[in-house]
Amino acid sequence: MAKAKRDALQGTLDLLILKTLSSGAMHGYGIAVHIMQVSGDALRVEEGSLYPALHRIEQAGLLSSEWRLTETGRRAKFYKLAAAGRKQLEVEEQEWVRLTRGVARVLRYA
Amino acid sequence: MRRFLHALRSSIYKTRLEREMEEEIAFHLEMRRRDGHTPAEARARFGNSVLVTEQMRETHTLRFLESVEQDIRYAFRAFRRSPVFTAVAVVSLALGIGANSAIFTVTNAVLLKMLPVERPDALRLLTWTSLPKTAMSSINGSYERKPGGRVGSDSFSYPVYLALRKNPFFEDLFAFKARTGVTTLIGGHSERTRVDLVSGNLYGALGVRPVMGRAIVPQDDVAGTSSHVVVLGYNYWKRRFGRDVGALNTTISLNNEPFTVIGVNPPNFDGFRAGDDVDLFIPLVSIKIVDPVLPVDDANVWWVNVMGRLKPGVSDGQSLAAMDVMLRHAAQATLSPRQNADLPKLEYKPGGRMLNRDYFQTAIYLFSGLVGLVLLIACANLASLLLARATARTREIAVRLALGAGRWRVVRQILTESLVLAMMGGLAGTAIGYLGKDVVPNLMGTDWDRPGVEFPFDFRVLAFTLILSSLSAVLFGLIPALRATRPDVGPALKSGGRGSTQSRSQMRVGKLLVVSQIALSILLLVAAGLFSRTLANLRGVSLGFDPARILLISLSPPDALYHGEKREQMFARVLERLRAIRGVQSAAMSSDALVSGDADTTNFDPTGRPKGEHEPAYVQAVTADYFRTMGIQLLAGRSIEARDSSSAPAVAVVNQALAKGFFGKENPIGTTFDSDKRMEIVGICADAKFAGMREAAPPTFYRAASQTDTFSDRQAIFALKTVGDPRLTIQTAREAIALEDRTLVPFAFRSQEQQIDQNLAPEATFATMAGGFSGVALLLACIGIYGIMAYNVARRTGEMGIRMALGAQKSAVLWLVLRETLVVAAMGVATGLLASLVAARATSSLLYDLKPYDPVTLAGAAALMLLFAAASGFVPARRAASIEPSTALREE
Repeated sequence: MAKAKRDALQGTLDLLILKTLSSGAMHGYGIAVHIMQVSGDALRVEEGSLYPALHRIEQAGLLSSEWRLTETGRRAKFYKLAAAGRKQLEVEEQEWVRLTRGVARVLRYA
Repeated sequence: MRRFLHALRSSIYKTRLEREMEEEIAFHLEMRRRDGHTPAEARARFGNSVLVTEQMRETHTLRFLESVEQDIRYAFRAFRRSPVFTAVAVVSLALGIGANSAIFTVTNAVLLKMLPVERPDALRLLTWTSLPKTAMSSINGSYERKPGGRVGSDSFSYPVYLALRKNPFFEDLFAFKARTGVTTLIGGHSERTRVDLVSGNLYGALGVRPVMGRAIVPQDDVAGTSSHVVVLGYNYWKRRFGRDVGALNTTISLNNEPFTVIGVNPPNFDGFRAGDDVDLFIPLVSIKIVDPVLPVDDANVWWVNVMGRLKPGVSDGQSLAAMDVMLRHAAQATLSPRQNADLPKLEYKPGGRMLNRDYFQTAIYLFSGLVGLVLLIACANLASLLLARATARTREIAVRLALGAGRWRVVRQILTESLVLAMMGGLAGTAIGYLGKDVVPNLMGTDWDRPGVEFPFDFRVLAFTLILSSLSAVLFGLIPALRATRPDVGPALKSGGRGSTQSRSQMRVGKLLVVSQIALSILLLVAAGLFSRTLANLRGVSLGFDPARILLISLSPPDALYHGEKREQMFARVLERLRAIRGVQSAAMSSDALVSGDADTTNFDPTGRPKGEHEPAYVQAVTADYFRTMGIQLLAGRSIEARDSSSAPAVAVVNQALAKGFFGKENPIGTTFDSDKRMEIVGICADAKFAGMREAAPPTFYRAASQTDTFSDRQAIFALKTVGDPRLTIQTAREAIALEDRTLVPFAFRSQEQQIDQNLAPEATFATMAGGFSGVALLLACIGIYGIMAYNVARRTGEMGIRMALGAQKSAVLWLVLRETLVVAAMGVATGLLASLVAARATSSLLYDLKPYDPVTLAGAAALMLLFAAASGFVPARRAASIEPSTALREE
């Protein structure tokens, strides 16, 4: 029941979130920090759109969530990849590779 | 499942979700601050947190709504693909729901409706019970025999009402009395109207406010007043005055007395009985104008209804005990002493309810039960259709489950389908219900001159229909949905849903549904059989008179216009005019119509024996020719003849029941007896039914009309024996009466046979409705049988092919399928018969000359069901027999 049409940018954010969570459960702030750090500050997640995105992806059944305590003993909502999310990640990763490869080819050729 | 609950949570427990979202954002901002950002910086990076929350919230609700819309669209697409399935399901449900909603309209109007007044719950109608020998000599109003030998009524005498008013428990007691057939003259046109007489405090106590003008107040209800007032019923104002405001302060005439119109009732207050629609409301003091005969001043005659609203905090128990003592005192103080008479014992009935609920109650309970069964049968059809469909879609469902669709998501999809079906069925059912809502009240109606009772189809009926539809959808859609989505999807994927274990167990559930359908249909068929046989038995009873080709006409002009001798002479002239009509063989006048529920009793004391030795006898005052007109056989002596005039010696003819009961083996002819005067018995006639069909002919004597003053102030019934259809004489008879006096309003033109039908209306209604419902049930059950067998044959096409390839005869295959149908049917019939043995006992009081376990009925129901089952199983069986082995095997 995945949506066929998907906004490219939104799709990118989804892909980043799914990929980030593939290494384990994380809360929203952790996801934002992780993406920023790993990308070498190149990608700064729009924090205002991160949470709606998380909720939307969770609604789509790709993520699950639970309230847990952080290391500092604070209550936070942790997101985890669901089975369907793992499949979706594979699909989107391939799609991304195909897309970037295509873009790269065009850039090289011109 | 998890996701569904989540969505549910987001719609219902929004606050909790909201809290969580806020906490999530707060946590984010706090972490940001810990990492060295100022709060303002953090906020700036985050953007508008309200907007973010809003967006997060949207993802929850949108998601849910989207999928619901998707489900509904999917359901409709599926219906378009299988229109027959859809039509059968919708029609089944429409019939089931329509029947229920029609009956519920009656329940609503009669049992549930409260008087449209303030605090109707606190209203109490005063009633009493007593041993059969009552302390009062006469009761005008309701009178019923209770189980256990007691009798009961809701009538009181006026002095007792006044005494009871002085109590500390009720805010106030008020009194009222319904009268029909009051001759009302407006602008030169006279008609008979329904009038409620109300005590002056009634409007104030109930809190009913007229839509126009003023209400009746205590000052209007004072004895000796010369200016009479009337409040119009809303519908009467609409019908007779076209809602003209100018109706106010005009003068109309009731029984030739002028009444000033002072107000118009609100549309929802139309009396105390369902379907009554009272035309006029006047003060109780005017009772002598609308019913001059009723001896309202006689404390021994109990006639008026009394109701009141309990003060807040007063309990039924404590007030009833004290009120009962007051009633006994008041009764003792006002009644003339009678030997061995029992004083009335007070009881309360809910006053806010319709007073005629008892008349409809049995019918309502019975019909509610019957339509409930019909709906169950319809729902079983829905379930088995959904089941068959789900089975046909096993593969599709299995694929969806395997692809990771949640089980709940698929269940929800199937449930949505059944809900959409149920809503369509409910919509069509509402239409059927609306069309059928007045069937019962009209079948059971009691007024010749006003057919077309209309019960309101209000929001409560709609709500009931909606709830019923949803319930049937959820309850009966859930089983197929759950079964179709059982986790073991492996075999379904492999086999494609044919011949697998799952589909076999699906078959079992399907057959179980059909068995229960058949069993339920048997219940309905038995009910229909019992009621039609009861009706047939009642129709078959020996009447003792010949009802064929008799026209009955009632005439009861206002006492103010015709009284005493003037009235008697007018009746005599009218009788002559009617007798002279061409095509009238003979004509007679009597005090009561036969089988009309009306009958008079009086004392009958054979001369020379102690007074009061016997029960009272029934009496009928008749003119000469009465016996010939009614076809009552004279057994000995002579009948009442023209020579029995007022100046001749008083004579009477007794019936056999009286002769046997009062005289035993003695020959009563020639002996005399005392009633209001001494009469000589001159003849014995055959027993004829009097008040009703169910009771045996009571001890009755017939006396000469001219030798009694009965007709000086009462109604007269004219009976015309005609050559052809008596109803063809109605117009001529009307004209003949108009020739006597144009203002006379003869009423209740009906043939004697119609009169009998009217008396049997409850029984006929039971028979008609039960017959109709069992027909619907039979149809639905046949659809069910056909469906399951057709599906079964389709499923086993391969097997049949193999059988035939191996040399099975067509007839053998035909029988194979037919036998299966009959086994299912036989199981259903057996279950149904067992159930009806238990259930039919509840109807025993409604039966006449019939046992609830009437073998003819039971056998008939079983035979009919088996026949229909075989017929509906025959079509699929023939299809099985015509399977081409080669095609069938190729398909496999």
